[in-house]
Amino acid sequence: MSTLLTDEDLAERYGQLVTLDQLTRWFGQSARAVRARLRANGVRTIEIGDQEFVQVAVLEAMLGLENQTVLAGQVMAQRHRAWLVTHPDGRRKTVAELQADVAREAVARRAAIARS
Amino acid sequence: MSSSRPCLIDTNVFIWIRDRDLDPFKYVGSADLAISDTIATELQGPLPADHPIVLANWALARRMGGQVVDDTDVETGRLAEEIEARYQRHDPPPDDPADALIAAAAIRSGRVLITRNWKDFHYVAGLEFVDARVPAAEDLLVNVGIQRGNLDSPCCRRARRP
Repeated sequence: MSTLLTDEDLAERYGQLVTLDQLTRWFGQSARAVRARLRANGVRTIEIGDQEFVQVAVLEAMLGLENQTVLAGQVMAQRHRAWLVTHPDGRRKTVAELQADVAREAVARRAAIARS
Repeated sequence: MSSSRPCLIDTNVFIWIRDRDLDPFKYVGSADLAISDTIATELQGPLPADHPIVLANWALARRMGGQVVDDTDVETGRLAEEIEARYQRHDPPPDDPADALIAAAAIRSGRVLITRNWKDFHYVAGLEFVDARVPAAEDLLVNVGIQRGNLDSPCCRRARRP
């Protein structure tokens, strides 16, 4: 088994990156202005070749862009997935067991969607 | 521009659309959207049927056209089990029956799976999917593009060969 990290592994481990060029287009400001604002807020850019990168999570924290609703939704989704695929005793469900659980309330859920 | 390409909206993308108050048709770029019974079950989770989040989920599902793909049948179950068995040499191997059922439902219904969970779907042959983690304001089908599941895709240098 290879121990090399893929680009997907890297993004998962270190967070997604955005280039300074993308930020300047988004803000409609010069690269100099965006770089100055980042530095003033203590945000490090990563320089590689002729590109500068910023971690998206760091940028969001700096700008106060974290969406609390979104974060709460993600946490709830993780809880629901664990509930969906795991028996109360912690065993992972088989496909057949999961299908049986899903089928139990499927008609009621479809009806609820139809009348909402 | 919306196409009529049928799509299956994975739970994580459904939540993404809901919490960002996006127009699902514009965001995906298709006029034919659906969830599956497994996805609906996951969306409700252990919450009571009258919980505000559950009601918000069903309202969005209804706004998306109200289509629910039945993935509780024998054939879909069999395909999901095949998917779990066939990719045991992938590293990491599939270990989530819900992902297997969602992939099987997308394949059997001929729908493109719109998902943020590339990791657990990218190697499933016969599956067409869109990696919704790629930033795009709208029309994922065109702006991000449809990928086909393939064990030889770049990550799969980690696949254990038999």
